[in-house]
Amino acid sequence: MAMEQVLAERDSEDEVDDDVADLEDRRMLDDFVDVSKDEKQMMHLWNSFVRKQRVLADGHIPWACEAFSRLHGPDLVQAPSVLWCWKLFMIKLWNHGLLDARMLNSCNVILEECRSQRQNQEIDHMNIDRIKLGGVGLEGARMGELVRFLI
Amino acid sequence: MVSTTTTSKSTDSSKSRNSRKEQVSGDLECLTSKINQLKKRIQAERVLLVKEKVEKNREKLGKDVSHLLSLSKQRTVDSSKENSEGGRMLSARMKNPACILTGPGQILGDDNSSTQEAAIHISAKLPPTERIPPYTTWIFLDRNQRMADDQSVVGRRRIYYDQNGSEALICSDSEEEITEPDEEKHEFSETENRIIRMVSQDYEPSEEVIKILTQYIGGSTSEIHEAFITMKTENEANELKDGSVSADNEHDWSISLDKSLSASLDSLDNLFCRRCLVFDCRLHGYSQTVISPTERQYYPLESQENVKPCSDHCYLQNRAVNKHSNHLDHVSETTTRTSDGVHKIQISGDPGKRKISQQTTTTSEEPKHVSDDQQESSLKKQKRLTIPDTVSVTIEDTQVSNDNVNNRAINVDQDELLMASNDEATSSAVPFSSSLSVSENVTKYRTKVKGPPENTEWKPLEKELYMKGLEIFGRNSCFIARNLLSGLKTCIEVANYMYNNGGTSFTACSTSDGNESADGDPKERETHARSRLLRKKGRAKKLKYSWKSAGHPSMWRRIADGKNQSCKQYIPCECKPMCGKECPCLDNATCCEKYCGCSKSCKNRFRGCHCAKSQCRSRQCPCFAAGRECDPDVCRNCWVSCGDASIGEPPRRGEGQCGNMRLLLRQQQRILLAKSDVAGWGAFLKNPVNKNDYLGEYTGELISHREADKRGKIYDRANSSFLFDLNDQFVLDAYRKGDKLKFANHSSNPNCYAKVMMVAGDHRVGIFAKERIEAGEELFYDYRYGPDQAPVWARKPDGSDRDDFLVPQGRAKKH
Repeated sequence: MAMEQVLAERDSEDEVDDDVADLEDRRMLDDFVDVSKDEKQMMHLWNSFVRKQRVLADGHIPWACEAFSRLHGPDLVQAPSVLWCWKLFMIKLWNHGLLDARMLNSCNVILEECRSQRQNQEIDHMNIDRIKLGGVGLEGARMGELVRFLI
Repeated sequence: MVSTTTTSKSTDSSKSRNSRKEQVSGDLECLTSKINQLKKRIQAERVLLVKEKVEKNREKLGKDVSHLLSLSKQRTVDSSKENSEGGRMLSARMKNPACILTGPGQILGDDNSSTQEAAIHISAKLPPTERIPPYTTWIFLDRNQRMADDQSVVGRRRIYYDQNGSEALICSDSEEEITEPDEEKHEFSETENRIIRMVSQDYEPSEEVIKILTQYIGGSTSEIHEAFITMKTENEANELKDGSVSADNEHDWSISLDKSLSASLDSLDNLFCRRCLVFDCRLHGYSQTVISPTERQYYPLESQENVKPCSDHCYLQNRAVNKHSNHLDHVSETTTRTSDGVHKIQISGDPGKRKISQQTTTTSEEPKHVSDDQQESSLKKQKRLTIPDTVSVTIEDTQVSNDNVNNRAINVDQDELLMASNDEATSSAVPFSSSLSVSENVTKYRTKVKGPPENTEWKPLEKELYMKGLEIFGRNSCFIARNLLSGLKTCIEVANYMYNNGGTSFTACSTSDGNESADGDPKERETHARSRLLRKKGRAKKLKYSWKSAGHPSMWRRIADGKNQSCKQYIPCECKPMCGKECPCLDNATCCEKYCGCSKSCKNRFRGCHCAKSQCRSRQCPCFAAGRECDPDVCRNCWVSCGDASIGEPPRRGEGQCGNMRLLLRQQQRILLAKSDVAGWGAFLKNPVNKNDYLGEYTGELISHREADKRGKIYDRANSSFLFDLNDQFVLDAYRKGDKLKFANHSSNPNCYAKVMMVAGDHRVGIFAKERIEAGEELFYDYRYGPDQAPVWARKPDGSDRDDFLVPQGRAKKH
């Protein structure tokens, strides 16, 4: 190494490359044969989250569950099977005494909100499509503006 | 490859079995001919396959080669244009080299006879350089890792290089049993597998069948037999699977509702590491026993306010709706009902007072009758406050009258509320009329409300989820439906079920200290092997421990005596609620940790420190004194945060100035790797540090003592060992995996020391500075060999200071 590199502040030692770590994590999980794909996906998301957020203590878990639900909520509601695994996992955390019932409920409320948001989005999209089909004849972009204005 | 036999052989063998029944031999002949047919078919397929491959390869090759061909053609064309020997470049060049190099020491012009003009002479003399020390590739670990089974050297032959004899030798230990190399397992080729599969479909694994198979395929009889049975069971399983694929796909995400809850949690339980809070932990492995703690956190009963309906299908919703519905249909209902002699439920028109007076009823009316009437009425409600005929209600007014609650609020205990009505009555729900004031729900109702489905059958998984919900939330259908049965059962259905099954003595109680748990209906629950429900009735006594009392684990006294802390591996105990005499932690003289099943007030638990400002760096901090790092979950003022600020962080619980959590938080110094001043490679510090500063963690593979002995033999021969004794069960080996601190050399007068710390139940090795160290200095610590174990270079010199006799990056076991 060049001397300047050595003396520089930048430290690449035991720097964890997130992508590589993610890849390795997936690979390790894939090795298991009797675990379903959705479970693996959920496990991978959790592992990745814990690593990035440096969740270390039992006392972090309630916050972690809430943050996780917020962060991945929109994606989870689009994949019901993974969402189910996440909910089961939260129950498991309660079993361990790591998650309290109040926070468990809050997380589920957050997920419900995500779900209704998504449904609203879908309704919006449907409505937009309907208007389009209704043959108003405006261009797409302007249509969007118009709809937004109306709704 | 399939061994070929002639058919004549097989017919001979079948003839020889004259004693067998005709039918059997007929079958067997059939079998052999079948096998032959199959073989022929396979061979034919193979021929085709090979042909295809050859064709493909030819095409591919053609593409690659054509380019080269064209190039070379070009070249010959070009060279033929030139005026030379055309194409015989090499021989031409040999005669007329472009430049000549002479070897070192040769005088210029010595043997120039063959050269012609313009030959360049270069004499090269390479300066001697030092060799760099031997270096073996290693894998970086930021935390210790348990050794995988295939990494073990036990039972393997190892070859090492003996410098004395300059040869490679096999290391053979006298204590090792020289295992006979097993006969190679016969690997069944694809063809053989097909044959076996076909045969196994129709035939039983009888002796004759197996015998015949041995003629056609290789492998021992037992191996074939095994493979046969495996194939057979596979076939059967496949057939079953095809039949039952659509059996339990009730939902679009196809969870099997016939599983039990613990089965659904099975893979999560198996892979989750309670200590590291991740899945598939490499330090603790998987298949950890799930230990549930004695105290769990229930939903405090007082704050269960059913103020708002939880969803569209909330039982509360319907009550409110019913209430709002004006007298029209209500009157019609009541008239029909009174005509049938059923007492009606009076809901006063005044929304302020919600007095529900219900009386015990006896009815002569058939439920069906009522439902018919209801169905006829034009406006349907999802739920009615009907009084089911078979149920008698006891009313308690105490909780019912709420003047301070808004229209929709009902704060009742569901026990007293009759929600159950017949399925038929609730099955058809028509969108509400506009008289409803719940306008915001109207559009949603149109699309979503289908009414509670006819089928309110409860699958096993749903039942278990319900029971779990009772445990967690008590008798609150909103919470249970939302958190456990979302997508499976609506709040109404849960309320129904709860009502129907709720006649037990179940009382959800969560006392303020959470010591008590709900005694669920134990008969309904499966008793798992790992039962978490051993609870005593009555309150657990709260044991008081003052700071100075004898409530501290007995270990602490030993520390005060100056002895070392426990050197046994910690294993979580499962004693509930208190550790008794059989507690494994007590036996081992380890403290119980937060992972144990015992209560938080267990006598054997380490209580953590209450240091306020001292940074926990002196012996005044009990954690420090015990050779333990502070625990943010246990110690009062040692809090760590988490989160990378992009999504916030948990609520702060203190200032977090604790200096005794270095290993946990990985607050190490920068270590540089360079050629050691004394031997081989060495570790150097980049920045200066003070006395007792934490430098880093010595990480490595966690191996057993036995494994370490074996590995040590080779390491010692090479005079370079990276083994570090951790506790009674494990040794750290940094030879293959570790970090830069493995390069720190030994010295009997070192500037650092190694200390085994207990961090959250794990023993970890930290390297600390013994005195102030300047930037760029090399790090040394005392390997602490036992007197008779030390290699030559580590022996303490008698009297004189001979640090410079240290040798190649060597270590053997250190204590």
